[in-house]
Amino acid sequence: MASKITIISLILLTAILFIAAPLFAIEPKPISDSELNQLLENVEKNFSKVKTLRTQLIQEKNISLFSETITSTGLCIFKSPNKLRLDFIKPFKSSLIINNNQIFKYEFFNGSWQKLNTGNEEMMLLIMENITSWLQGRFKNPDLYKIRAFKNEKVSVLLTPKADEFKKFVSSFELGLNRGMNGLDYIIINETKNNYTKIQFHNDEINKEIPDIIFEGSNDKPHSVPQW
Amino acid sequence: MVNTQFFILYKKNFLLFICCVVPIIMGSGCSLHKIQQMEIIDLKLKNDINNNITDLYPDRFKAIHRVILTLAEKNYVLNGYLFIDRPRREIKLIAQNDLGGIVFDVHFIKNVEKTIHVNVNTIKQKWIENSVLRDLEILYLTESLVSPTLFSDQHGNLILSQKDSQITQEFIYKQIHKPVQYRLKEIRHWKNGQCIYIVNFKYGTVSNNLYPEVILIKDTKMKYNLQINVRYFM
Repeated sequence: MASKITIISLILLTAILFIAAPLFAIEPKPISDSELNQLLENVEKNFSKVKTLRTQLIQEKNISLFSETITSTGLCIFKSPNKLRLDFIKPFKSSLIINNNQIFKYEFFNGSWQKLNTGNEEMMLLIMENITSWLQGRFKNPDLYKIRAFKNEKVSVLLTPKADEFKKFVSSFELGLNRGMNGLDYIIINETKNNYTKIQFHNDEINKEIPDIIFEGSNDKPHSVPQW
Repeated sequence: MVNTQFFILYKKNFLLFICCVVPIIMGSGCSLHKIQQMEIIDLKLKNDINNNITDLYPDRFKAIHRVILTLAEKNYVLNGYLFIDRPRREIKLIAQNDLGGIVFDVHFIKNVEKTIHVNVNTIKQKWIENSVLRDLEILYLTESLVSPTLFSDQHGNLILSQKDSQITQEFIYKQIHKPVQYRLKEIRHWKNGQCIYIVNFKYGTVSNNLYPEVILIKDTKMKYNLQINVRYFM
């Protein structure tokens, strides 16, 4: 009888510990302002060594309407200082290219590529320039964002838009740094009403030769990207 | 000499006319529709086709629309996340920018609720009501027609038609299996002899070929085109 009670107690204790464990998980600690400046300086120095980057990406969208996470896959190619290409492959194919302040947008629709004449070019350019800056470790933009950083096992940087108009659209960006603090693990775009988009980067290839031609937008379809 | 020049000019203009007009006529889904229509009296077929309007989709489903909106010769890419409850006549939509960020969201229950939040200044609420919401109602909440007429055209398509005040609605069905199985191919709205609105459906291989995976909308009154890639969650 006593051993039965002991076993039940043990099971219950294990269950409680298992359930309660996340409550005792280490909370990310905010980094003080003085530490933050030093950190940002170091990060920019580390990131500046990245001249080219080719990485696969997984985008997870959590939309309040959907119980399931909507996953897209693609790739991100960056060539310092101002060439960036974001390709999505599944479920919809598209390619967005920034090349020295020029923006090119392609969509694969109904079996063929279409080169688009983007109407919101300024806004897209702004977003893409932001991403380009982040890939270079330049997170500080006092005109646009309030910046904070948190440290747990890794460091994450939280950018909160200052302008109300911008806040209506995106409430914050969270940039997760990798362990070596020389690249990004993820970007989270926190939208309004519990909707968020997480873009995770993996299989990074750093400082390998990337031909300029893949950033060109003169063709009717995007130049093909060599396989990994 | 003058006559020769006139003839060359006439010939050039005629060729230009032919080059411009023929593709316009050929390319227009609306222009030739009235030719060779024959009314079908078969009441059962008419009722079957009319009921198909409401049977096209399941009662409840979720879908993603990848949309290319063309307005004033500019393109805008949006992702629309949709929840449709057809018995409740309800539509929920979250429209996101291509790179993330909610542009607008809509909650609509026909004759009960219409809530629209717009997060960017460049889009007006009224425009969403008159375009986005109207498109979604036509796509997903259309009811069977009250007193339709059924025609067949020279291609073997069936056209279910009804005139309501100034607008004539047409639902064009294409025969996909013999003897009788039809699938919605197009919706057209006519006003004063002009096709003012057209929806074209293309069925793919995903979702067992049951639901349209590509939808093209052309609204000549509101002056926009939509190209929509659809993924369903059912």
